[in-house]
Amino acid sequence: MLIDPIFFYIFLITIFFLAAVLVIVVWTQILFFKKFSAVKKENLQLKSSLINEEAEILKNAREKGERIITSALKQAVQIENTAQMNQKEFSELLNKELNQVIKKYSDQLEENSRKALSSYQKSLSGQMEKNIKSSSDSAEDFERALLSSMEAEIEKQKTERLVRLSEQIFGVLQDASKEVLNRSLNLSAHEDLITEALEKAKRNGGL
Amino acid sequence: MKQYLEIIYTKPEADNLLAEIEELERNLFRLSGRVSFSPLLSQLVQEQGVDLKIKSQVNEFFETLKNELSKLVVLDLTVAIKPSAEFLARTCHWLRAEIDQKAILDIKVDPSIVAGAIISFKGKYRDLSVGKKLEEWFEEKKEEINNKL
Repeated sequence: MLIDPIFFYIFLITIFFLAAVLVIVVWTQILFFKKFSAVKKENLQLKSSLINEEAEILKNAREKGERIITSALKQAVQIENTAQMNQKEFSELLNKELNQVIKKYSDQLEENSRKALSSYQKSLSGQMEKNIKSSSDSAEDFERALLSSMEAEIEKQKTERLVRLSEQIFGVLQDASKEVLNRSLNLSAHEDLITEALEKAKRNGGL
Repeated sequence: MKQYLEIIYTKPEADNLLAEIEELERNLFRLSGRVSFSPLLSQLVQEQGVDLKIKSQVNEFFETLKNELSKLVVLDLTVAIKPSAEFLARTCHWLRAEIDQKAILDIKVDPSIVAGAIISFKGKYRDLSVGKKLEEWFEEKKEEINNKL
């Protein structure tokens, strides 16, 4: 069996092509790997330098902190000593000032109280004198007012009773007049008056 | 029938007559023996010549009488004393002649009115008593009288 030469050439071209592709892929991989290795190395170097820097910073910070703490402790001890001393001085001073103020105000208060008491006593005695006088005047006024009021009340009641009495007398008079008139009329006169009333009612349109 | 009413002058007379008629209507033909009538009804029966043995005639008489009685109009008359029967008759005749043919009187006695009359008729009221006049006179002269007291 003979292979057609065309197939043989196609086969060779295909192999060549595949070999070329393979070479390109391998080359690309190699380049990528190289680049990756460089980046990785650089990264490691960077990390290493960062760690060193951090360590340095931490070391410095620790040293600085220790210095600050030591200094602060020294200052605190100093302040405490000063404060204890100041507190004592302040307390003494305060007590002294307070005593002075209290003394001053108590003296003033005592003086004021004495003055006020004296003034009140004077005022009270004056007022009492006035009241006694006024009471006596008031009693007279009251007596006069009461008398006047009583007189007015008596007068009012007198008038009222007189009016009431007049009304009663008036009523009695009225009743008596009716009674007398009624009795003074005989049956015939009564009947005449009834007839007269009927005729009058008729005349005036009452019937 | 006009004659019937001429002998009835007052409301009590009319009321009594009506009550008597109603009683007779219920019992007249049930009772045995003689039945007595009031003088007023006897007079009316006699005047109208009603035969009491004839039921239909009696019933007609009663019906007419009741009908006439229901048409009467009442004049209320308040007076100070009880008037005489003659006066009532005279007054009622006058009333029928001058005011209303069907009028009867309803007399009330009230001595406090002294004299005269208080009249009430068909919704109209007139106080024409001496007592009222006296009160008016006293009211008018009150101040004068009080001053004299």
